[in-house]
Amino acid sequence: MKKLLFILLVIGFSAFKASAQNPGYMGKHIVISAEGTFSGSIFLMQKTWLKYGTTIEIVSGKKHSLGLGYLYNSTKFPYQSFQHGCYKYYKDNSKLISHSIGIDYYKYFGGSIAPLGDFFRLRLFYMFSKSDDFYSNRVLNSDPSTCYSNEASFDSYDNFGTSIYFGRKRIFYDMLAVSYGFKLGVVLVNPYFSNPIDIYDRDVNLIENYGSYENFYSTLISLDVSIGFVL
Amino acid sequence: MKKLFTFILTLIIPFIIFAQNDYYPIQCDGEIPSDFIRKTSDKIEQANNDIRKNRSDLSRKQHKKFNSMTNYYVDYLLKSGRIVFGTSMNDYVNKVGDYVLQFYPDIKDDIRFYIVKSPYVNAFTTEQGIVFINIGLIAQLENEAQLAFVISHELIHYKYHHNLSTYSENQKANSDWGDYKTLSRNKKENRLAQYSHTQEYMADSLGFLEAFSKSEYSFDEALTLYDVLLYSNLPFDEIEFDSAFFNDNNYKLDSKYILGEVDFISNPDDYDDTKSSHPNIKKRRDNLISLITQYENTNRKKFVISKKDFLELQKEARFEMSNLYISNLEYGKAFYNSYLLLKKYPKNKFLKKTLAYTVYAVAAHKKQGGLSDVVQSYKKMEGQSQRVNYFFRKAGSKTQLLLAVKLLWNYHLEYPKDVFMKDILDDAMRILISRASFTFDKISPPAIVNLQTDSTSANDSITKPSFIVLSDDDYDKLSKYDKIRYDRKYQEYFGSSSKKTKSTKKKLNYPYILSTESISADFKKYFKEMEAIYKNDDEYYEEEEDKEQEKLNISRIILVNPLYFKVSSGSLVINDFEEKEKGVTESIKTMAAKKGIRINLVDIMSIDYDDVDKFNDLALMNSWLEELENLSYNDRQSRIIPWQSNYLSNIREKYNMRYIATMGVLDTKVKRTSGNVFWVLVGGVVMWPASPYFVSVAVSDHNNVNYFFYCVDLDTYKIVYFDMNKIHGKSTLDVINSLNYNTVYELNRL
Repeated sequence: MKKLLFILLVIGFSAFKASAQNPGYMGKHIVISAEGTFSGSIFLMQKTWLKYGTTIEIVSGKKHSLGLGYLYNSTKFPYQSFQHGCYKYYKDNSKLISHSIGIDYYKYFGGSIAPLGDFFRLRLFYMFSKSDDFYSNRVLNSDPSTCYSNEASFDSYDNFGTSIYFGRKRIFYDMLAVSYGFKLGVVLVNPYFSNPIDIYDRDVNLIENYGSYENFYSTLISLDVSIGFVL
Repeated sequence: MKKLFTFILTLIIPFIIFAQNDYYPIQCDGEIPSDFIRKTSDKIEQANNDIRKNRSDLSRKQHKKFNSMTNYYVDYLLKSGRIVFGTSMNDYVNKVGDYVLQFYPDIKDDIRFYIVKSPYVNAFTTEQGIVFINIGLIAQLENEAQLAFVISHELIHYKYHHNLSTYSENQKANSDWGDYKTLSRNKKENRLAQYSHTQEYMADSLGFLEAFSKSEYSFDEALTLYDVLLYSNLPFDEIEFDSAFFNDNNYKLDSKYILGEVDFISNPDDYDDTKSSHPNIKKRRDNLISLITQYENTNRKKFVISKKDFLELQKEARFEMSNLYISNLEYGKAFYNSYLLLKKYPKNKFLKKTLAYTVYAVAAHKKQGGLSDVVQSYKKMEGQSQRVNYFFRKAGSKTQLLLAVKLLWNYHLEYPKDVFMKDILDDAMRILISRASFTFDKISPPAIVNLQTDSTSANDSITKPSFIVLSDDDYDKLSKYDKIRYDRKYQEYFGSSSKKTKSTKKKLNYPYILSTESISADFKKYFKEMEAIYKNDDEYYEEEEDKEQEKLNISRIILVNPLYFKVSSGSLVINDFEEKEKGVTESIKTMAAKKGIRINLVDIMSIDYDDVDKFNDLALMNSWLEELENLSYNDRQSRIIPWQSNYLSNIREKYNMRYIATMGVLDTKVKRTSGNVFWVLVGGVVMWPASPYFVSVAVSDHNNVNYFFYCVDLDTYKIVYFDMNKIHGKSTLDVINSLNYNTVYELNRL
């Protein structure tokens, strides 16, 4: 995590330093936006995901910017019931909550001058997924003397990912920035940042299984809209 | 009283002589006519309110489109600065026009006459009632009667709404209406040409019947006008170009650069006119002859208004032609035009200036590339002007550069206060020394020292001419040995063959070009100074680079005529272009203010009725920028100093600004091509989850904003900033602001 923070700080510092050496939009170099993504059924999948968050973009060149982004996703678990070890797990309407933090590189193309016009954004992100109350709702279902000793108790799943966003940004009244486009992404298991996983329990780790599925398909393709201010 | 008269004469005469010995390019005068100032949208609205059904087969919608297009294009021309009003030339044309208009009482109040600064032989009329007459036509006309017949002809086009009916006919052809439905494309074109021919016959015939036949003008001149049109590709006169123009005691132009015989002028009058908008000259002449023979053609005049004024008009037009040709980069034509005029006005400063400049311009193009753009191939020409182009095409770049320096130096000696031409001389020297690697030492010593060229050299060794050039007959009488001796001696003096024989070994001819000038201590001093600056090419350019690194601190700019165009599927969108143009202008001013740059806008929209000086400034700046653009090649720098920079110095002083800029925005909207759509759909298939996005892209139009801005340093005539950008999307305010801010940001960094 320290490494990640260090990288973010270096990028942020570099971006601010570079921002004075390009025109930006009428001399303004920072865009802070609220961002929403829509994925799933809109692309013929069975479920819909709506993520929202915020981004900060710092124009670092005539054709490029650097930035940071955060996205929040809260999605319902379907009915789940299974037995594992000494306990029977049962939960309905539990939520999987994910927090995604990423660093962004924006490249403006088609003659556009950052931060206006056509661009693609490359994001490297780290995604924390957890369900706060899933394991708390367990019941003892057998003789404790026969229980396994290596009880699975972790309740989170993290992964690394990357996405590319093709979009167009417009600016109204010299201050209101609106972006729209579509995003393609993949999530990857990251051995460095994920919580420790008991390899014997991997097959029955519901959070991991479900989080993996959710994160993958919700990130695969989405429409993306953001509204913010140019400063 | 007599003393007073003498005193006044002494005051006036020098001015008259000065006026005859120089020429300043034509400029507008007086109050600016409303045609130039009124908003195009207002004109279109008025024209739409005046739509009458009986004038054409057009629907109201089509008629409105016609009004939009014609008013837009006419206004574009009017506001370009190419149109002249208020001059003595206009006064005369107006007088002849008024005379003819007395025979057209019903349209008399609608008509305005303007002169177009174009060297091409043409006149045309618009549906708005404006008759445009090119300077190129005036320069070729022989008398007032010919001008009157041109006007009679053009007024018929207006009276019978020929522009409107031609547009209507084109609409029918384009939409396969009526008979056009069954015609092939080729036959459609032929039929449209035939339709146009009918109108031209009508203009000739009715112009004669309704006006010219009732006038006092000689009918013969209506017929001779067709000769003017037939030979309009030729200069206004046919005089042999004498290569002795470049010669002096020590130099004679190499005979290999002189074309022996020029091609016979063959213009046939019965040419194929199937695709032409006008019938051929023979048919038009025959048509008119059939009418003229029905009328009495005796005691008629070539001049009704004033012969003297006509000759003044003609003279001014011919002088202006040199200016227009040079501005259009047609240096071969400019040279010959000035050469012809110099025969009649041998002391005219303007003509000497244009001749020296054109040789410099051609030489620079020959050395630095682009000669074919500025001098037409002599093989495509006829008549005496062929010799000029032959010389420019055949003579080597060193020869031409040295001749340019020779002419420019002698001009400088005669007119030392002409700062512009001194700059041209310096630039010619730069190219000669740095690009052609020529040094003073390479000049051949003069065989004949002319005492008059430099009094300081009076003590130098003086040899009187001991060589006399023989005529062909005298040469033939020489013995074989005397011929050989003659040829050798000829070579010795002139460095070139005598053209009579090639028995002697060829020597380089160009080192003799500046032999006479090299006697002058001033010239030698000047040459050596230039050599010190330009001799080492690399050093010179390193210095130039160093100079470029110095901060320019641009704080004030003259911005000339910002433009805005919107094109949708190949058609110009005219609806709100003036508002858009105003938006673009306001944006650049606002953005510039943010970076501390003051913009002085010179735009037709910002000119008042009484500010003709500003109008002239706009015209000159527009024309100068156009010339600079034409002179600039891939490196976006002008290869030579533009001719019209000569007149720009006044503007620089007047506005107290060193930088001049212009800009434009072109918004285009095009349908995607089938190939384009195919690849977009392929993308949709490959990335199937995103297929809705790809489909929306495939069915939508493709919008682009093309933007250009360039800024020129009037000190160096170099483009210090050039931006040409193409952005996907529409020309919305945020896009314009972004582009403009980027421009002023970059200017601020220079």
